[in-house]
Amino acid sequence: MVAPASSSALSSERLVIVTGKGGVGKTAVATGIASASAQAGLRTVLVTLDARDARHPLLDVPLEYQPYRVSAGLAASRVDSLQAVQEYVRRNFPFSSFYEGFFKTRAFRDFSAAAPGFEELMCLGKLYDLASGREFDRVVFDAPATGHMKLLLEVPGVTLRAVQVGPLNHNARKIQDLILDSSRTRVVLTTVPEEMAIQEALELEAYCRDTHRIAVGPLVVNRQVPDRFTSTEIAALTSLPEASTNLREAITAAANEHEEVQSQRAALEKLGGTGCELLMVPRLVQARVERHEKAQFVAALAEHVSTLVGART
Amino acid sequence: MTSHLQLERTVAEQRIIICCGSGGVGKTTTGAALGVLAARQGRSALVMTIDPAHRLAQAMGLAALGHEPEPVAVDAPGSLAAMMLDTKRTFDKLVEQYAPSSQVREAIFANEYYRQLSSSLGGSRELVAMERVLEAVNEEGYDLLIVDTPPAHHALDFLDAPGRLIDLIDGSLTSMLVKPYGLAARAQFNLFRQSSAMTLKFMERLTGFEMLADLSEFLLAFSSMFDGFKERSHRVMELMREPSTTFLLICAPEESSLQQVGQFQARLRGENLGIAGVLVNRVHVCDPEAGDLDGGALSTLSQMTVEGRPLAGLVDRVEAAYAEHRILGAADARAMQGLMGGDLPVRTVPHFRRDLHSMFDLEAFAEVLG
Repeated sequence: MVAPASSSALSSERLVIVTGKGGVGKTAVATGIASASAQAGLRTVLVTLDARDARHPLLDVPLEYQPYRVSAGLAASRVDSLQAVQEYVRRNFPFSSFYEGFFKTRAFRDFSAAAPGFEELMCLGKLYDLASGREFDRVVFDAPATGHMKLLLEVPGVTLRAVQVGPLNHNARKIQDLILDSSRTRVVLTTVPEEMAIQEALELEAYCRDTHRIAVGPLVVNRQVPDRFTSTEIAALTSLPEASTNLREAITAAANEHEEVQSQRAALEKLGGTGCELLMVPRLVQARVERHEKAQFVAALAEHVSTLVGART
Repeated sequence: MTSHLQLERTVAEQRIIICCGSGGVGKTTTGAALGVLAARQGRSALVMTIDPAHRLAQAMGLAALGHEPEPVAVDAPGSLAAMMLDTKRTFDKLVEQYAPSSQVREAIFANEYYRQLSSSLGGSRELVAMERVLEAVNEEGYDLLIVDTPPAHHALDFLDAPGRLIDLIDGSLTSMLVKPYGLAARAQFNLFRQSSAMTLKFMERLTGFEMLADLSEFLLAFSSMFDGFKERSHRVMELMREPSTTFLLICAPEESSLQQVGQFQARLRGENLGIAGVLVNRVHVCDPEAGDLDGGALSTLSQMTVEGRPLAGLVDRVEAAYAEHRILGAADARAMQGLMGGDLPVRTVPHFRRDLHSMFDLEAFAEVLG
């Protein structure tokens, strides 16, 4: 399906960073964007840094350092900082096999964890490699939540200030150039129609745009509850004198839904004056336990974010 | 068999409640609501949050929270106060307390590495959070401290973090770095150049000399305060092991969140730490017996009018809302099946359909918890 182009649609961006508050569905939105990108003909890799899950929670494939092929045009990968450091060293230092044993030492692990931003820079370096290499047209980064994401965005600049010369400086420079280049990188913020999540998204948007001058938008508003009833209808339903148990439960469902819609509407009003471009994604009500259920969920999400994903020209 | 987590009792009996959980599960709001619950019981509660997004302040309807406890207006016989944990300020205070001399103190404050570390290095926020808890428990005379932990991907991060920082300062890296670079930073860079340590040379090539020298200077200065730090962290661990301290795991009814419960429980038991139980927020509750609407119900709906006018399509819309309600309820029940068979006390909190952004909402939430 070819989506109508909008001003905020992605075009040639190689790196799409999906972030937002914890629990708003970043992984779902990132997976949807990656899947839609692949459908649009872009060879896409979905990348996470998350070290805890052995398998991708929605794609149900193993998460490994080497991109794992999910389907035609779509791969998934987990960038592990230690492996990123090792790859960096092997590439940048001749005769580094000499140091292989060193990676296993406690001193090295301590150092890697202690040097400010070192692991983060190595992970960003791997994202850079994927985004600028020939294997993929697009990297969709299922990024950490707000706090850690801010730290990640700081890292190249901090490194450039701390280390004036050498390979680390060179590496940080490349990454910084990629992130700041609006033709190659875009941050897509995800939120839900709740006041605190929206507040956090707006703060993060200002941070990306004003502090770092990174291209950001649109704001993906996930889990919008359908607005099916008027207040009058709900009042009439809840005052029905006689109803069976099932009908009572159904009326409660309708009333709860209406209450949630009103709360979401009030939260969304906060976005009114901000000029943010919005991409609304409805709450997708379906089980996602079995593999086929997850696949259906991803397909539905991909459909909803397809207007964001530019097709190959 | 699963028992019911009685939060009123937890709040009445404990002295410290540490709220753990991954990001976005409602930790901050739950912590604040537990504070309200305690105040209702006549206790004097302090809610401490680490979150940089000032969300607790928002939940309490306050414009901003400070580093010092601020009283929160609550209609209850007890009292409630809230504060933000400021990592940098608490860390600075520790340095002031333990630095053996003013030179060491100034060297640490001026160190580029320290400036970044004290707010961003993994583990520093958690260590400092517990440090502040230690201070509050000793000095400020609250009956109950409710500690909100930093946003983490995993509930266990909070427990792992302080140890990582201590290990780092105590570790082989320090002994390796402190000698050559410590001298180099003070005297001749050449001294370092002559160091035969292959590892150091390699790390230097990897990162550049400035970075290692800075790190070395920091570790050198810090190692002089190490005993003080270690003693503090020891007391923090003791405090966490007290029977009056308990951990509360907060989850969402989702696979990824609930998978952490087992690991969390095993870890706390292994370390001899108390667990209050698991609180699952935002659960869609639906009567499992609820079935399709029968002919009678459908005809009742189709005959409904408002001011004499029929309601177009009402039957379909109610059926659609009902169907989604049942699917959500069944999905959450299925996700929680494993948890319900376990031996931890569990409390499920129904999905709150309103945003919690005022004291009024928070009190309503406390009502649900109590």
